[in-house]
Amino acid sequence: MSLSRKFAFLLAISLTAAVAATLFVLYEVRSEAERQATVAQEGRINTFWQLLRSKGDVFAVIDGKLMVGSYVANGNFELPDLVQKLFGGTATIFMGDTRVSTNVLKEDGSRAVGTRLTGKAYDAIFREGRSYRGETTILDIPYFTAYDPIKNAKGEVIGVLYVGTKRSEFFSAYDLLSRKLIAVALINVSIFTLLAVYLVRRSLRTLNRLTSAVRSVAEGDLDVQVPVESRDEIGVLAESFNTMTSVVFKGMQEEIAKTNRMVANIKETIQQLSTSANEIMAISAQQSAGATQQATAVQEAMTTAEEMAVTARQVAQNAVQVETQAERANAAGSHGGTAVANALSGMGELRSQMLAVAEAMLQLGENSQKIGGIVDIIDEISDQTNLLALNATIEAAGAGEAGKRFAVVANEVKRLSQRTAEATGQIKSLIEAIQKATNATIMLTENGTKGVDAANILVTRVAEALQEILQLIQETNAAAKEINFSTQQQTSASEEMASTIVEVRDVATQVASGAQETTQAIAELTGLAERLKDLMEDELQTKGKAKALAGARLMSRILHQALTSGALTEADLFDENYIPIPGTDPQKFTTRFDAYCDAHITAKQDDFLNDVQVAFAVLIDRHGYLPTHNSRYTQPLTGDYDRDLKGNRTKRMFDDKVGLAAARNEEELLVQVYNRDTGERIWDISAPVYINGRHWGGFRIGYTM
Amino acid sequence: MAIEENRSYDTRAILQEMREAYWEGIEQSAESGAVETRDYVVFRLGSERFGIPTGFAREVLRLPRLVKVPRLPAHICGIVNLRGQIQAVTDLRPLLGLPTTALSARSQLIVVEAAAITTALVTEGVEGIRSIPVAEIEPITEGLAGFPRDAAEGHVVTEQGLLVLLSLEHILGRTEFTINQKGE
Repeated sequence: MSLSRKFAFLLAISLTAAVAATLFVLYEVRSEAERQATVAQEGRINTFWQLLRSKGDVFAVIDGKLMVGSYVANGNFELPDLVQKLFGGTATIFMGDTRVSTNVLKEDGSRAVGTRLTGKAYDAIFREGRSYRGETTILDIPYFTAYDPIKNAKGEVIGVLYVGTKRSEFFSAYDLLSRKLIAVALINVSIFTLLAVYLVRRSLRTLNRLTSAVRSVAEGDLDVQVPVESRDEIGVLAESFNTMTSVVFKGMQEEIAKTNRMVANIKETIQQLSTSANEIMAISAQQSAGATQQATAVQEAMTTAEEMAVTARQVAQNAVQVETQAERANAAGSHGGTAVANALSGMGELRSQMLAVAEAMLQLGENSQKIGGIVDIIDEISDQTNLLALNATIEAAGAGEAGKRFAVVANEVKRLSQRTAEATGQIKSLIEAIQKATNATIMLTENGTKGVDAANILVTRVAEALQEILQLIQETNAAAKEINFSTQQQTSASEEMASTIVEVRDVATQVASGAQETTQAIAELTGLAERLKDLMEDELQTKGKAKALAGARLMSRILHQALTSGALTEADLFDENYIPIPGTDPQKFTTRFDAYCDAHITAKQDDFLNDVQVAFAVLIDRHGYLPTHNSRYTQPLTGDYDRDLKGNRTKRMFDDKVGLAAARNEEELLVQVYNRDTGERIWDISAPVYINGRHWGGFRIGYTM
Repeated sequence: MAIEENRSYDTRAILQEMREAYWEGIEQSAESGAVETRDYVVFRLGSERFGIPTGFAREVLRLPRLVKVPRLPAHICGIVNLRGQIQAVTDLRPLLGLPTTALSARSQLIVVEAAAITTALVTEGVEGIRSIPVAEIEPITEGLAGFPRDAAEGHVVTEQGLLVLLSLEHILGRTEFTINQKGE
């Protein structure tokens, strides 16, 4: 509820209370008046009774006429008129319930005689037999009335006595008073109200200005002052506000400058930290790698040393075995020498025996050849015998029957000769076999002799070799002993080496683990730096979002002021007819609203650039048209394309992907991150700008670390 | 030693066999005459075995030194002096269509006389005289290629193989010999 409304409400309540009090007083007065009227009626009716009793003491109805003693009341208007004369008002005498004497007039001016009593008064008098006091309507006019029953000697109600005063007559003064009172009250209320409204408005104007100023402060526009028009509390407040904004603005700028310096320092520190961490990391990695290599090398060396020790042990064992074997070989060699000597003598005997066998065999061969000659002779004899027998048979056949016996003999001869031939054949083959065998034997004995000779030589050589072997074995034995001794030394040396290597390895392992710890510590450090960077980026974004929203509100307000001040129409503000500005490259455009923007938003936009992290802060319309750029980017045109491209970026159409996204965004906020070709990271944060609820464009703010 | 033992065993068996054969020969000569047989002189020629009736044979000789005579037909391989008589030596191999190879020292001559011709037949060895039952002689069949059918009486199957019985009269009665005789 606004303050002015509150004031109005309060005013209304106090005025209502005053009016109510007045009305209450009036009511009380009126009630008192009514009581007074009732009391007055009492007096009047008593007077009426006195007047009536002055006529007589007995009341009766005789012959249709109300009689007071002898005084006839019917048609006699003396008493009512007297009452009227004395007190004013009306008075009536009823006979039964019918008016017989009255000063009440009908509408036509005649006396209202003959009319009847009705209503509550009738009920009270005739039904209950008692008096009635109160308001009664008579002939449609309200009266304050008093009715008393008129009773005869028997106590029967025979009529009614009445007095009354017109209500209007009674209250005329009161009504006049109340009207005057109300008029005065109304005048008072009007004057008071007007005065109050004026005063409140006057006071609240400053307050409203303060409100809008505070709102613009809330929107980020800190540099606002409010005109002080009064010395009252609000004036003091405005003055204090002015002081506050100037102090805060100054403080804020200092703070921003400080923050900027701090941010720059932190940034630099992070970079240094990052660089150093990376360097250390590299060194540590090298160290680690070196240590690992060293460990590997040591491991290898150790393995080698162990292998060496094992080998040396094996060599020692082998040497011992060699020694044993050499001793055995020595013994065997001695035995061999004896055996060889025996073999030599045995072979000599064998040789002479073989020579004897060869002699005998030659003899045998010659003899068997002689036998062969004899057998040939026998063979020839047998052959000729056979032929003879054949011819004898032929002869016998030629002799016919006489030759038959001869033929038998011849046949027998032939068979014998054949047998002989077979036998000689067998002898021949036997002789051949003998000769083959003897020849083979001779050959064998010759070979045997040769073999024995060769064997003799070989055995002699064996004997020599054995001698040499024996000598070598003895040398081997001595060498084995030496080897055994030296390998024992080697074993102990390599064991010492192994233990030394183990120490080296332990040291290397420690170095490696140290390097790893270093690496881990550096990684943590780097992580911290990253986190710090992230935090800064978050902070940057948070700040950026707030700034973008504030900027959008500010721009919205400034553009809206253009409408309210009448500088631009809504159609002007939403102009989409981008007219190219001739002679500009890159192309610039003008619209119906960009001049207004140049005049009114440049300073406000530039304020955002007090923060060094802000690269730009600009208003763009929904098509990416940038009517007014920051002063930094609105350098005078030089005609040099490259220089103007960077130095004068105002009134250009930024309808690239990022620009369009920012221009068309109708979400509360749009955060876009991209890298400039300089390697700088830009957080492009934009918030939409609305004019009378219509999307006009957006406010883009670019942040960089 | 084993060889000699075998030999001694063989010798004993042979002696036993010879004694049995002797007795058998004596018994056989008493029993002979039961079956009609004909005697043939059996000889080898060109790795075949041939037989000629004993009646045509006069004598069996070792092959003497042959005297070569020029301009003689192929089946006359020379002449020989036999106890003062000159005899032509006939080689039957060209006539019988057998391959002609050089004669060895073991070759023998059979002096035959048939179809009024006396000649010495060259053989590669005379086996002896064999009695062949007439019933066993079979006529020559077409199966013997390169062999003049009328040169053989028939053939007989013996334990040593096929024995062809030559018709000596027919062979020596052929024109080659006749012309020769006329030329003599």
